[in-house]
Amino acid sequence: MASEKIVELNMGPQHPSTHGVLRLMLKIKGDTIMDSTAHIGYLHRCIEKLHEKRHYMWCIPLTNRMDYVAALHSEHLFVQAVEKLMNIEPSERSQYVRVILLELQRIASHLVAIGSYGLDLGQMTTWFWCFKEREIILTLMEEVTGGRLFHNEVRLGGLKNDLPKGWTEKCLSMLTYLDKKWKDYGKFIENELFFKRTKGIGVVSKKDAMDWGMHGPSLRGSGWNLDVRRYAPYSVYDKLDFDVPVKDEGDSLARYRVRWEEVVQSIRIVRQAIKNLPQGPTEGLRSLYFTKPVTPGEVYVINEQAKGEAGVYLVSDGTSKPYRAKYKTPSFCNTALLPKIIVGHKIADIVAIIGSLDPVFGEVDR
Amino acid sequence: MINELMNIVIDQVMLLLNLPIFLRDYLVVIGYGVFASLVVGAVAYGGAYVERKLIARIQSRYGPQHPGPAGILINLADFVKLISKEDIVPDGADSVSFRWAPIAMATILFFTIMLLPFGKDLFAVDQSFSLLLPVALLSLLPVAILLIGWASNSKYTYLGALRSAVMSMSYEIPLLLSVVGLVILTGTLNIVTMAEIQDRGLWFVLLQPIGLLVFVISMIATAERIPFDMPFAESELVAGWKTEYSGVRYALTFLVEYGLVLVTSVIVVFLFFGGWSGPTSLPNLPFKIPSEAWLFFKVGIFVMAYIVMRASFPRLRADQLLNLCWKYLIPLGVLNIGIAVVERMVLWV
Repeated sequence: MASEKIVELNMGPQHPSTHGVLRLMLKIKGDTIMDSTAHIGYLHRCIEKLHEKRHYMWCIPLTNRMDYVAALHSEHLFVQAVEKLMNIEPSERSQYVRVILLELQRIASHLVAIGSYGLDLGQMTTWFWCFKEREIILTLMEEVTGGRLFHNEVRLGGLKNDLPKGWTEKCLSMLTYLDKKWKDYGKFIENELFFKRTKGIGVVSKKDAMDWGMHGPSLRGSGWNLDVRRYAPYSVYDKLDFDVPVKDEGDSLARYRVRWEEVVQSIRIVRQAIKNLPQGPTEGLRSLYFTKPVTPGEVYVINEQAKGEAGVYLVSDGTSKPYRAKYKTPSFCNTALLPKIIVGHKIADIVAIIGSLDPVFGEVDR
Repeated sequence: MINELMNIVIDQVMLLLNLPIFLRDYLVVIGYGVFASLVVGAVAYGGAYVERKLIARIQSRYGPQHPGPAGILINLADFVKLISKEDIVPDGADSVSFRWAPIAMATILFFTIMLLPFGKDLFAVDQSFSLLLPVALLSLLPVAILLIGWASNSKYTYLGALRSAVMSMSYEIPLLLSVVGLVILTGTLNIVTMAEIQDRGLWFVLLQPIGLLVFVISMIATAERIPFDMPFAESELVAGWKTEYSGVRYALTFLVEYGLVLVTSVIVVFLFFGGWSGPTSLPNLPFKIPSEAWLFFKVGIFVMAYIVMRASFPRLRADQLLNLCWKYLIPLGVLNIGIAVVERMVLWV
């Protein structure tokens, strides 16, 4: 209708379902979004600058605070970079333990993503069920690392702690339980009303996904078979057998389904890693962190985080503190194209799209 | 049973105050009003408690544990908290409408409940439009909601109110269409008479399953519950038209929500599930099960269904509800009228 006025609506940063502190300025006509701008920066804590003032070891807890839902991934990324700088090869066992913990962390992160997606769509039960299972995983990780959210576990060339006695059996029985439950949850979540809210909502075509720089499960939901664990394997991922779930539809449902299947694959990876777990030392180079300088040079390393491909560009000038650490985070890239996706959709679809991209704002703002 | 009790009390009051006989009808209405408020209060309290507990069990939690045994006093504590809060009227809000609209909503709701029967003889006024009047009164609620949305001076409340208006446009037509079949079958607009006809043996759920389907979907939309709770979808519109309310007025909006659950459940039980009628042949019991108990039992099942639905479904979009209502429910409602005509010709003659 021609007489309809365009209204500006401010969504966030205190809005309950913008997954943190995203602020969207929407121009709406009736219930339809004509234009939108995303404002970020409400959670900026100068993490990259703080790196320059700290010894290498002290940076690890900082990286934890970036993606606070999957803290171990960013931690592993930073340590990967320093290890590459110093040419340290971690022991075989510590690499396997790392993979076990990383994949458990991925499951925990996807549980949060899918659970809060249910909450966004009004299906509260999904949220509680997913968080119930996440608690079990967090408790398992707490037994190894001592932390539930912020682990501070990965060390240069090793780990802070080895797996405690009897942990692997506990982990395997948990995986059996989760495997069974996860199929039930899938059946519960995917009902007709869920399809109505997600099918064909927030479609990103294959070309757009690559042009705009999408990452991770969202990219794979648009038909790209790109997973760092597969195309540039780090740690021991090349010795493990797993599938990369890919969907071609590119809508919210596809992104949700990719996450759902990644949990199944992660369970598979952890099982294999526990089966192949070698004996040996896991301890890292403890004394090094406080005082010793790191080899000068610059590196760029990537890994596959729960939200997608992340990278760190680390410059060392030969002192015991990094000269510069620049992070590339998947949530940032995915949030950048959010305003483009939501144009033309209804207000109610915004939450369905944000939830399917699963941004974490600690990682967007850093 | 409750009816007899109420009559005794009213007669005593008449005797004590020496009132003229024509005032008795008014006293009955007042007495029924007190009873209806008690019922709404009890249902809102009990319903909210059962909802918390049942949803908690579905979601693998315990729900409220204290105060009181198994947290039974939790709603009392919440109520005390709500009434002790500051009653905030936002800057730029239209003070009069903002303050009075929730009270108007509660009043409309109480009027509706006054028109409903709660047992075999338990009704304030036996009037011949007791099917139409509650539906007409309930369609006034979106007007009050629209007023709230405008008066709160906030975009989120306004959007919520508009959604409510859009929804009422879509669900009211199928709601009425679905009961036309029953009117054709029974030849009356009085839901008490309808229940009496069903009491003779055949519940209308067997004759009018499509009508029941259309009615139940429209009824959930009337009560604004998941999957049709878009007017106050917390993840999209903060709290929709409720956003700016605090304290006792917020408590009133909750009362209206549970009141609507009660009203719609009572109406559906009276229309399709035989009202107060129980099984015709029961084993010999030492006492008679009162009609109110059967009604309570059936209404309870529907209230539970509301709660289970809330735990299991995501919500639809407002435009998807419009689609559903105009594309599917209205044709189904018309089809249902045809079925009713055929049934009337075959069964009643």
